[in-house]
Amino acid sequence: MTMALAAALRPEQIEVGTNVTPIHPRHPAALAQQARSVASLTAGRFTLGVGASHRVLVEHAWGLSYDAPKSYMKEYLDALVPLLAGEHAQVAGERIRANTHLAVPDAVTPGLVVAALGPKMIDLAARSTDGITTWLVGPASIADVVAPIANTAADDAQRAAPRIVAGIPLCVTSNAAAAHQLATSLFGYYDQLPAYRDALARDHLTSAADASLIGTADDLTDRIHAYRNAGATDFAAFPFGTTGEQHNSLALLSQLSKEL
Amino acid sequence: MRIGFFDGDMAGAKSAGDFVANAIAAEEAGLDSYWSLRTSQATTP
Repeated sequence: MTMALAAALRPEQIEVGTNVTPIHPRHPAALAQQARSVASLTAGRFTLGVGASHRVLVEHAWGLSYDAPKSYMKEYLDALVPLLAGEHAQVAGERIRANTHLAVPDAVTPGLVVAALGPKMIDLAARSTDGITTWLVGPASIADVVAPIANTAADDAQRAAPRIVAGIPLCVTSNAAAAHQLATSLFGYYDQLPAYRDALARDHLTSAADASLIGTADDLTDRIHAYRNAGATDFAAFPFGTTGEQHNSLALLSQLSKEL
Repeated sequence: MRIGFFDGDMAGAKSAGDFVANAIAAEEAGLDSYWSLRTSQATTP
């Protein structure tokens, strides 16, 4: 989040968000305090993205328990959501306890989205927050799984239609084979994580490289439109490749931002 | 549909200046949002 604040202070209009901040190393009061401070410094342009991360990180890297990540997220949001809104949090969960409120002068309630790949986390995110952020999830899964579950849950909770952010690696290139090989090298890490393997399988894919958008600008324009047609409210691209390819990817995003 | 720049160091280490530069580039390109992911895996320059 420190990085998001630094990134937000020079630009003056663009929305800035974390995508995502892992919840396990931070008590919700500490995270809310930081997020409300960033929100106040960015005049409402900040959206906090949170996620349960993965067992390999939480347990092996940080030495914390990854038991029952969905119920942990539920307890975490029960405390985080009111604190972000400047309200008192009273939570006595199995693993999260909070009895506090925050006084941050001039604070603005930041947006809040939750990283979700599976149905239960999607449902929880849509019931409790502004929406869902995904990574490496294709338009078929967004249309068939993410959007229906999220929209039903938000409607059931009498919330506004949820935000659905589709995060995808993007490389505008004339050398698709080389870019695919690079994507395999850069993003192969995700192929080993169970949550991503399950999500990729729903799109009938086996690798993050296959989920990446690689090709010419003309080829990719229709594929990006497919995310909108599937129900995504946001398309967030990670440009990768050579410097020139990244420049071309940003140019395509710029063009699409004017059209969509 | 809002169009955003997803920045991160999950594919290799990036300096703080790299993130800020990308945020500025995203705004100058007229994008709607800039998302940052500072991972725990990458070495922070």
